[in-house]
Amino acid sequence: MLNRMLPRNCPSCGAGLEVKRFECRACKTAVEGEFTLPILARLAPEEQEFMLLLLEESGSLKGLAQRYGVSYPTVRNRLDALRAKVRALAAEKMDTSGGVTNE
Amino acid sequence: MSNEAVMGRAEGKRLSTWVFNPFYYIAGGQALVAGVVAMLLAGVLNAVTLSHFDGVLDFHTGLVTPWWVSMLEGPVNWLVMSALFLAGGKLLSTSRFRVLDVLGTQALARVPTLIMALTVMPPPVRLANARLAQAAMAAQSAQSPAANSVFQFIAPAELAMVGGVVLVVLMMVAWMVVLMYRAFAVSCNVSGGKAIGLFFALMVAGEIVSKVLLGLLYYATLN
Repeated sequence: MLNRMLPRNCPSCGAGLEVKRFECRACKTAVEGEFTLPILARLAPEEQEFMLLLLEESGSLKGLAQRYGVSYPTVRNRLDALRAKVRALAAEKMDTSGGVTNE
Repeated sequence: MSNEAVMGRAEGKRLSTWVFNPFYYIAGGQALVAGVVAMLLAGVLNAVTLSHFDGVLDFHTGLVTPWWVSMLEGPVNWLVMSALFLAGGKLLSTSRFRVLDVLGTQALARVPTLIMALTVMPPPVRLANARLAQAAMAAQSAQSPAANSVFQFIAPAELAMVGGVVLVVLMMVAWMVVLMYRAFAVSCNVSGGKAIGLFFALMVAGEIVSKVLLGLLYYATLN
């Protein structure tokens, strides 16, 4: 089966997408509104995979480095870049929601 | 999803990464052991050929010293640069980095010194070097240097061979500088114009400090 990926950015202008509608699979009841995607869902697929593997390794960067076959500082630098991205996304989210999140 | 894709790297660049940024794959203790072994081997070769790493980026032949002086030069240059890059990293980096990674990657970055030491190992090169030194001494002592042509001491083919060796050594120095920068960038997580500027400032500082320290070592052992 085709693994459809969650679209994160507008294919036309590149801006971040928001969720407008949820629908119950069983009864088809729909809920509409403006829902911001959670920060982790807004990361690129490879970044999400990195976070999942880090969890699998219980947060061990050494374990993650061994798993990827790269050095410890390479993994640490990747994590630092990801932390900076998550911080920027969190700040952006605070700006757009006026300091209130709807999660 | 491939590991390299997850790590944000394009596939198919492995050889160039191994040559110019091996720290992507190796750092810490592994790099430290590999680098120190290469440094000590280069020291042994230098003790045999009377060659010296008499500065962070220097390689010269001819000075007669006890064997252990040749063995110490590589580690002195490495430790001077590691200490400077540690300080530079503390100044510029926003990441928490390990001292072991700075020491290990800087040790591995000095692997080209082993190739430099090997270039002057063949007997014909050592003979040509000795003749060249003889020619330089004769030119220094002569009233008119032009009267003492270098070709009285060394054949053109030998001079060309020495030129080839110098070219290889210069290429190795350039490679080592690239490796030292990549080691600094990866181990301290720094990049961009500031990192490059700081790197070259630290290289100049390292050259001065290592020259002074090794100069004191030569003075202490030869006087």
